[in-house]
Amino acid sequence: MQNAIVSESQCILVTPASKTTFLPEELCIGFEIPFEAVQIIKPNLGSRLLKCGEVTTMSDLPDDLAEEILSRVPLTSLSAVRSTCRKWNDLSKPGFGKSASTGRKQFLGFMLKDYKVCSMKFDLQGIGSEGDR
Amino acid sequence: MSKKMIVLKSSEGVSFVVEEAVARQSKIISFLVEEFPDRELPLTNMTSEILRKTIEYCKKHVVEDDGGGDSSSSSSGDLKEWDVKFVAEIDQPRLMDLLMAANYLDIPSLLDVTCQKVADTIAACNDEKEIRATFNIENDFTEEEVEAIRMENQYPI
Repeated sequence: MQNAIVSESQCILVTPASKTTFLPEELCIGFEIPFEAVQIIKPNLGSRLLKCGEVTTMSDLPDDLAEEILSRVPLTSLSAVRSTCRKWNDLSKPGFGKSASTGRKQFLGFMLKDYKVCSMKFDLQGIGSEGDR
Repeated sequence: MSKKMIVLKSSEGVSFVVEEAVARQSKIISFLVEEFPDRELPLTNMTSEILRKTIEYCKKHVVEDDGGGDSSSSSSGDLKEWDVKFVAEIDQPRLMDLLMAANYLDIPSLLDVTCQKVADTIAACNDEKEIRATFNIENDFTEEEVEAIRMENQYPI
């Protein structure tokens, strides 16, 4: 499966701020992104980008979206939200997802191959010095 | 006079022909259109139903900039009202799908509306039991734990 990534030739990188740039081809092909840092979301492997229809309840949503929703619930409902289940209790704690949204350099990437748009998540944590060669 | 059209293809292979300005409300599509003009864009993780809904939203929210003066067809108040109605008519599973689609296609205003709708639904529940029932969530707390959380999170009235 991982070999499938390196054989792709056209990759587009989308930053969280949605400024779009190309992910240099050699980054994909030249092993400068450690394989373990590249998590394919599509096709059919990962969890973050589920097919429409696969997400039918809030429990199926990725944590960042569930957290976004819970952060909009007024404080008057906080007690009820937190007593709903363990996951919601965690997600509604202040600063829970901070590390995920600001600390990690994550990018959502899109690959086009044979007219198919696939997307991948790149976690570039900890590859800085290795990439300088 | 003719507007540029682009073709979006759903997971079932159904093609949707939309005005470029409409589709460009998705930052992802906007980018793809620039990089790959004149191509059909396959959205392999979006069903026709959800794609149709998404396009319906984008059509309503497209800023008309081809006419003279202020040609926006609806005021922001009208638009808000329309949004509320739009999400009110969608059942919960489809709302989740639409939320995912907004996230995937990067349509911030649609993501905002859908997240807010779910948050409002949660806020409308009287207690955690009603929330669990509404969202089909299993209770993995013991009675004591729920009581402890309740004590901790008393909202001062």
